[in-house]
Amino acid sequence: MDDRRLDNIEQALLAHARAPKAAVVPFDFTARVMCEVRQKAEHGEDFWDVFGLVAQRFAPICALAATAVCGYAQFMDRVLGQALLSLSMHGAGAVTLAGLMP
Amino acid sequence: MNDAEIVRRVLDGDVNAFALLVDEHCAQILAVTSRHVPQDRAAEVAHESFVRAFERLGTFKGESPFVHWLTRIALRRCADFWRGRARSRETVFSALGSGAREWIENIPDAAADGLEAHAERSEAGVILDWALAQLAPDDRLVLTMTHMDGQPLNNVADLMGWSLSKVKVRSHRARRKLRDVLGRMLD
Repeated sequence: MDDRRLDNIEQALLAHARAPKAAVVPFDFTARVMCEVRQKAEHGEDFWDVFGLVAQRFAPICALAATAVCGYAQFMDRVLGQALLSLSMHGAGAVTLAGLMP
Repeated sequence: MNDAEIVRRVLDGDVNAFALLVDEHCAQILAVTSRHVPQDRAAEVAHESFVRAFERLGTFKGESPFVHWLTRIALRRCADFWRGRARSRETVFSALGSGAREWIENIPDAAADGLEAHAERSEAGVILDWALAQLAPDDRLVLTMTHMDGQPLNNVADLMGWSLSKVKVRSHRARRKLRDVLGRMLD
């Protein structure tokens, strides 16, 4: 590879990149942005309205369901713990007990 | 009314006040995007940047000037633009046409031989775009800001959210990668 040639290409490309570029703002730029922004704002409000309504309607049912699931999990944990303790007291090996773990 | 006050108005529900921020900063953001993405897509990326800024306006803490925060969003949109065009990396140099090949073949040996005039030709832009497209989006951003725009390194670190040493390392590596790409092009 010719290093001087490569240097010159690199310098020429960087010089091209450094040249000032005029950025012209489109005449309707703000109007277009605001059009999309207003749509986003309206949709955003719609979403939170629906979310609030659904949350209010289903909050009691969700709370009951969550309580039931937690209670069931705690109960099963206790049952499993007692079963493992009982089996270990009757001489079950570690491998057998590990096989019973969910 | 300053930017922070306008932001507060928008967050309080006056969506139309956001137009004041767009009017105030559109030229600067467009200047940023036009440095990092092709000219014909710069306005589109600037537009996306403002919309994204509106969506995330609640995260603006006011610790730095609003325009810095906005510029960071614009730079991330520019990086996203190039991530979305990863396929352009697969373009082989020969696909750029005879003009680009001729530009390479006729590169002057020294500045006195008209290197600057050669740099002003449109083919230089085509080759530069192709070479930059071979780099990772972050490499491209940091290279453009440091070696082409000549921005101070601490300014680049602030905009990219990087440490100063990381900017130095990434900038140096990106320049070396660009040189490797150009070297492979000549081989």
